Amino acid sequence: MPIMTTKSISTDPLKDPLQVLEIKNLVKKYGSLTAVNNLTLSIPTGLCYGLLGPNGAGKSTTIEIIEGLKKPTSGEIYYNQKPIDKNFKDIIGIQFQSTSLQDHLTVLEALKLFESFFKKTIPLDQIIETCQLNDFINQDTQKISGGQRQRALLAIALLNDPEILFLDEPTTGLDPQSRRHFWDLITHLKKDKKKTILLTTHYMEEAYILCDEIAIIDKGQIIAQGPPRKLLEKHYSGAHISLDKNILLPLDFPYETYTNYERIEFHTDNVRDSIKYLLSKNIDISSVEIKKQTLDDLFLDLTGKKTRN
Amino acid sequence: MKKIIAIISARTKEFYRDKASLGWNFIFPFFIIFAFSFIFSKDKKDLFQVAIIGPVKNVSTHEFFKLKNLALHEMSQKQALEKTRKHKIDLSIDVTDPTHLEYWVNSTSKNGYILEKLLINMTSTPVTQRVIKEREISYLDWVFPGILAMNLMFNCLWGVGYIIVKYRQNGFLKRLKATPLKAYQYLLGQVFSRYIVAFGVTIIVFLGSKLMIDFSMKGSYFDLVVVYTVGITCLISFGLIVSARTTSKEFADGVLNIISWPMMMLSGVWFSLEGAHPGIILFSKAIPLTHLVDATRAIMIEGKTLVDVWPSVAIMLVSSAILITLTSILFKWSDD
Repeated sequence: MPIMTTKSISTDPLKDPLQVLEIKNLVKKYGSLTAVNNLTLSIPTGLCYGLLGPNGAGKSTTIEIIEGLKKPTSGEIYYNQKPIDKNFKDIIGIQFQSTSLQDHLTVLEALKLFESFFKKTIPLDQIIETCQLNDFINQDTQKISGGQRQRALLAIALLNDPEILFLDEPTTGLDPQSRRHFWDLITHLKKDKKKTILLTTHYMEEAYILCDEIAIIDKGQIIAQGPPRKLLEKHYSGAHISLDKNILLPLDFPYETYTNYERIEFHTDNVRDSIKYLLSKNIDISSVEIKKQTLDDLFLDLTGKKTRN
Repeated sequence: MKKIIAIISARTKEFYRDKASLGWNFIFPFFIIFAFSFIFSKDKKDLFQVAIIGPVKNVSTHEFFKLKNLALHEMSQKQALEKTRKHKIDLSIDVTDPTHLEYWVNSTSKNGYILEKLLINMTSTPVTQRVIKEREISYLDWVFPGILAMNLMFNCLWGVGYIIVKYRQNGFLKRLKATPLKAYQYLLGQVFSRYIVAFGVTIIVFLGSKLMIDFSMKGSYFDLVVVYTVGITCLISFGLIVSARTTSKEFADGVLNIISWPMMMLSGVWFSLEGAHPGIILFSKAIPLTHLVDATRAIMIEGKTLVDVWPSVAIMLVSSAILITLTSILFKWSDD
């Protein structure tokens, strides 16, 4: 499988051509370990940009350097073509994967606490409505569910009406309903509020649904970059067809097969021809399943299947 | 200022909504004070203490000195009067002139009253009475300022030091770092919130104890407030320095215990270090809690003023300045 390495992304011509956030030659070293290795990327206005990668790939380090939480060893970060400065914190919103809030405060009090840190904020009522916090606004932050907690944290990230929103694995640990509810919120922020979003996630489905562009990072470097659908088209053609493992295939079966769990699988570039072939050989196709490659497949093909520490 | 007030408000709410912490801060000092008040409610002295001023051989000419349960102590007039004033001696008698006795009695001493009556009835020699009026300093009077100071120590060390480390460990400080809030604004918020809590607890314990038990308060309340303000600042600064970089609650707890236990044992909270090894006394003088205890004790029991206790106040201020400066240099939001 060829690995695509790109240093620039194709931007949608309908979007603002100005590259809102540019990261140039970013390097972060911890002693002899290089966590981020000469990483360069540009995030155009109004896009949801996904940073994907296995554990330890360097995506959280990258995002925290951009947020100003870590200092880079070298490299430059520009916002609207100017180097970022101390005022950058006023125009960004951040949601970590798991943020603890101060104990014994209600959701409303936590919002008011963070509201006090910014010069310019949008009305709390508006945030509460956008993030649908009304049902638990007066509950202790320690006594709300995981989904409610992530919505409250998103509300905190939106208090200053940020131009760029950083979401670091925001749906990790949420049940499918809460996750989908959260995706709806992000979609609303992207489409209706025109926010630029930088998202890290381990869920490829999430990246596929939410992100206009993704970058797959491994060992501190970008190894693939582009719109999810285009990346899949570039790396894969055809589909996988699988059959019940008890079906006997002819000896001259023209496709290379492999067993995956309880199924026999083969790859084809032309699904229609393959199905025609199976029918011509009187093979029972009632158990046939056709599967297109997903971002999960691409991610595993590019980063390997070994567990990372 | 808006940011600092928000931090103060949030931290203070956290304190009073945390029932366990609230209970501990109020119940613990009351429990200790009432326990001591009960334990020392009975007079434990078995003997009458009599100071002899002048040649002790002269006492043989007087029947009074042959009474049982009298403990005779030979000392100078100055020492005798001081001890009579402090109720360490029940009656001081000058026996220099065998034909005439002069004695000093504290009019508030029960034992002194009995001894005085016995002396008058048992001697044919002319006597001259001198009266000292000074309320007896009970152990409760003595220990009360120590308990208040000790409670403040725990309140400030854990309320600031432990809490900041807890929030660093669970990532809350990292979240704050991602906002425009400055570290000094956060720390000032913590400090001022702790002033409110520490003063609130101290005032309630002080007034509650005053209503139910009698303890000495001879000095000025203004002076006491000034000394407590400096003392709280000093104790908070210890909490701040522990919290400056520590990332583990367990480690912070251990360090705070290492700081607090010697302070509690060697700062004269429970017992006087008079007569202890000079090294211990020197160490004790280096502990800020010793100075808070000594200064508040001097104001409450002896009616001393800020002018009298300025060395203790100065030491606490210098300690605070050093520790706060170090904290401002060392403080980190997170361990990144």
